[in-house]
Amino acid sequence: MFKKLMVITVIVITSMTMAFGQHNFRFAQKSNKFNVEADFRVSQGLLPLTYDFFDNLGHDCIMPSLPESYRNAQSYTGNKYSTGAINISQSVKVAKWLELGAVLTYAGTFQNIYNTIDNSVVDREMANSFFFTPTMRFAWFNREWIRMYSSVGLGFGVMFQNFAEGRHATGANETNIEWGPSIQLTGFGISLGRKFFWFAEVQSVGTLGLFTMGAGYRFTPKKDWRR
Amino acid sequence: MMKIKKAILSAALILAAISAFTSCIIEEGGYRPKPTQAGVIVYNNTAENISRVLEIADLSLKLDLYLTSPENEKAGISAKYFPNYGMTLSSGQWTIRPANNVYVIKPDAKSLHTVGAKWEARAENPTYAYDSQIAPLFVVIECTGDKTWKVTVSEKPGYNDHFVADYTITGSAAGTLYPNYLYAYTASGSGHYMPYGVDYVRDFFSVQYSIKTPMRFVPRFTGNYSDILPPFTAISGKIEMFVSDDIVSSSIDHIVVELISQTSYGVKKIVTFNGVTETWSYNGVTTTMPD
Repeated sequence: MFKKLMVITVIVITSMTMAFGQHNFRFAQKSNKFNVEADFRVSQGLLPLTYDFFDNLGHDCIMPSLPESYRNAQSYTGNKYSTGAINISQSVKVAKWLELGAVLTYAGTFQNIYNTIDNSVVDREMANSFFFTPTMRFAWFNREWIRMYSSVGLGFGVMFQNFAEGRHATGANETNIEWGPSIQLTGFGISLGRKFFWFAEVQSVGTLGLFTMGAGYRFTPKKDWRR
Repeated sequence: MMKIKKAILSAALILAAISAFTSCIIEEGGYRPKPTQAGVIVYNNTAENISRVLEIADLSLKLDLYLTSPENEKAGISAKYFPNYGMTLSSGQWTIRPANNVYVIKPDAKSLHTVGAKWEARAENPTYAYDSQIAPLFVVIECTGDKTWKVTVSEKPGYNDHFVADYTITGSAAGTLYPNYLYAYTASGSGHYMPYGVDYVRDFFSVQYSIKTPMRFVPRFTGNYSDILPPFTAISGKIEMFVSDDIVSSSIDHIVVELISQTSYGVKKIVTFNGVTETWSYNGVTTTMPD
């Protein structure tokens, strides 16, 4: 776990350094005025990097024991469905090129286990993940209708996993709870629109999904809220 | 404030809609096993267990033939039945080492083909074992009649494996198809085993079986002896098995397998698993029995 955190920290710091490298100090000194605004976004991401992501890749190469083979022959798995990453986020512009915010994410997967003989559902395996990811968004192309940006986020998350014990209706299902970091690196993001806008983020890796798309609303915060 | 509430409410609704309509399949469902497949799995393992016992009895009978034959025939018998096995005698015990295992056989004063003879034998962990952690097999072979033996498998303390069985086996000519085999065998009797593995507690899974119609075991392959699989395969007979698996349920599964005929693809068998019956023409292909 410590190693994982260290690796993530290094990646985030490297990414942030690269992103700050885009800041033009001479330009900023000349015109550091900007319209304070906030935005609210709802989006969905494909293939979020949840804690069971790597568990789902590949299959066991170990030959199953007799009891395992016997139990597996009495049931089979249905399709596995994923909701993707469903995100709500809010951010505030703190500099002309910088927005700070946070994203709340839910990602779920569901899979029924069926009885071999009568095809009835005997159990269900599911994983529900929740992430809280503070983010920094670096806008490197700013126009009235179109903006392009990169972003980086680091937070934490929790995953609740329900396994079907022995893939049978035993009533002894256990919920596995796993805490961990939440990370999002977005190489390219684009938003189209003014107050109401559509946006898409690609080449991103993390808990928000590999490809994210959604809609948002920009507004000017009240003066006291700004403070 | 109202605006924010409205925005949150709208977002929740949008999320619910997204969740309901955009779920996608990330993994196709698995293969649906045949309803009696679990029964076939246990049958295969049980038949393999019986075959393991027959293998050690067969080796003892071959050793008996070697020991009782004239000196000038020993080399020929050794070449035929123990090719490159490496046989050593120490303290009245023979150690025989085919490629797949190590067998230790302790003859008594009588030939194993003489009524009343009682030999002890032990098989170490065979490399072909279904469950790689099978412990040594302890067998006593007692001649009870003409080419008839009582074979007892017992559990020894200190081993994690549980396998006890009592069989009566009779030998008959293996036939010209199997020149390197002494006998084919017919077995009757019963047994009980609990396989041991690294990933489950042994007491959770046990198989009790009883041979209802004597089962005929023949050499598995024509031609040369194979070092990969147990050397005998069942081609006829009927066996009943009861499986207790505490992990799944407290009820006991009932399996009956009747072997009908041997084809070039395998053995055709009728398998009944908890009341569902299917005919297995050969491995993997089934035909459901009409009601």
